[in-house]
Amino acid sequence: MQKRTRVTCCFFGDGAVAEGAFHESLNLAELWKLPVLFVCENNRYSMGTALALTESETDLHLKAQSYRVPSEVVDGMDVVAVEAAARRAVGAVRAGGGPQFLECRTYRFRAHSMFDPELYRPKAEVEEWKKRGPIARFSDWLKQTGILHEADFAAIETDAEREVAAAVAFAEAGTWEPVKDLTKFVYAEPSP
Amino acid sequence: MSAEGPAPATMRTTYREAVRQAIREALLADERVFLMGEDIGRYGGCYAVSKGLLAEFGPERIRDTPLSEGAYVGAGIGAALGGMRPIVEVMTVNFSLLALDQIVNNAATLLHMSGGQFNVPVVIRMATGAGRQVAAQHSHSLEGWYAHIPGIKIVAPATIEDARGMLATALRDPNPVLIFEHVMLYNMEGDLAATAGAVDIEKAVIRRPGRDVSLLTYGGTLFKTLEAADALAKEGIQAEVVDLRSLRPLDEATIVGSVSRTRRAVIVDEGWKTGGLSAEIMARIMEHAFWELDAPVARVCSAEIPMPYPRHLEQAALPQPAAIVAAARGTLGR
Repeated sequence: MQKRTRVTCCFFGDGAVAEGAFHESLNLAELWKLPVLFVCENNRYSMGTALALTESETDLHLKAQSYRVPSEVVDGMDVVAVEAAARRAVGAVRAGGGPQFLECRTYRFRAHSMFDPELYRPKAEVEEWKKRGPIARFSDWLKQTGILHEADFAAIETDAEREVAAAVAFAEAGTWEPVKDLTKFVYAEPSP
Repeated sequence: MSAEGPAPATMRTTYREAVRQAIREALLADERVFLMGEDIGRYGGCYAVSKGLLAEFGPERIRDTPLSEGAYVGAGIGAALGGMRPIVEVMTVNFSLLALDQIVNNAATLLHMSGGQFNVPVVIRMATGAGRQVAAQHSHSLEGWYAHIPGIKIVAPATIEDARGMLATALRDPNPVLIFEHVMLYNMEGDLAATAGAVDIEKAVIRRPGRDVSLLTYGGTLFKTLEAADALAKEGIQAEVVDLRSLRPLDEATIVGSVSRTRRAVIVDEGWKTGGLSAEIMARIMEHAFWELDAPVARVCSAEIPMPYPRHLEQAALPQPAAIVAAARGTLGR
């Protein structure tokens, strides 16, 4: 309505696909040809319940197709494939054709949260998926193609470690929000 | 006879027409404003409020939506975040429960959760209340539930002047504002000043002054309460009628001020008693005016049942002037 060229990118997991909001949103986005890229990060578990236990159709991108939203499945563990697919999808949205849907099939290596003892999946499954880890695979690809060399990796890792350490130090050095601000930002001011 | 007489100071109109004119004025004044909801365009609005607006403003600004309260209320919140000033119409408060996630978990919380970065200037209008025999799927008064939620503002225009003026102020408010229009008010006729415009949306108003008992009400029960006050006057009891207008924030000063003068209070609310707005108002009176009271605070609310369909049962379930009169007398020991 504002004639802007922005694309709204909406990320969610396979669990959200079971929500009514998912279906209402896809329908409305296609109906009104809204510039939205829907990205479903399908990691096979909605917190601790496997996809096959929550969805009658586990091929999630088909649900988007049923709303006439062009959809694509991509190996979510393949950085290059995800980038290429995302560029194609964003390009299609920018061209004014309405929303696009991208299902990235991926996996979560760690527990859902600190309170998750991971009773719902075998350890062997986790180890199997770790072999396909996107960082390791992308690193191998960079080495094989000669884009980066060992020394580059060392430098990148050092940089990353330094950045994380700096962020942690910054956070640790921060002060807690004053309790007197507890009720701030409940309502925006001023009232008319 | 001159064709160019002075413009009339007032005009005859209806509550419905006042809401429509308020929407028209907002659409004309600000191109960021648009209206969306179920059956608001081609059908003309479930309660005919938006009739004619599609022809005047076109389908981009008068948007018919699917029956997807979560999606279109969510879209309204998104549009507000993106710089628009959407008016979202939900057919009835009962259906708004399908959008509770968007209203309560998103609209009400985003400002606070973002540390003040994202305010949500959305206006959500909906019909509320009983009396049209549309049964329990369409007739409840759940505005008190919404008044429980910090981060949103709740208003209930009861008069034609408020129906005309609250929307403009709500649209200027940087916060989410929910406007509850009682279904029995839409056909109400009255005079409106030709110059009528924006009105305050946070203050209660004394609609009838009196010294013996405060009758605190809002929305659809205002006129029943005024009728009760007339009946009480014939018995020599001068009731003060307070129209709350805003349910969140509650205008505590006006409530406490009135009760402190009259020393007696009856709350009239079409919602249910249990855990309801009437209970909240009673609690505020206990907190702030307990020592001023000469009698226990009373209330007249809807029967605690899903709203029935048959007229005689629906009417029996609702607050009625006779019950208000009886409750007011009771506070005076009569």
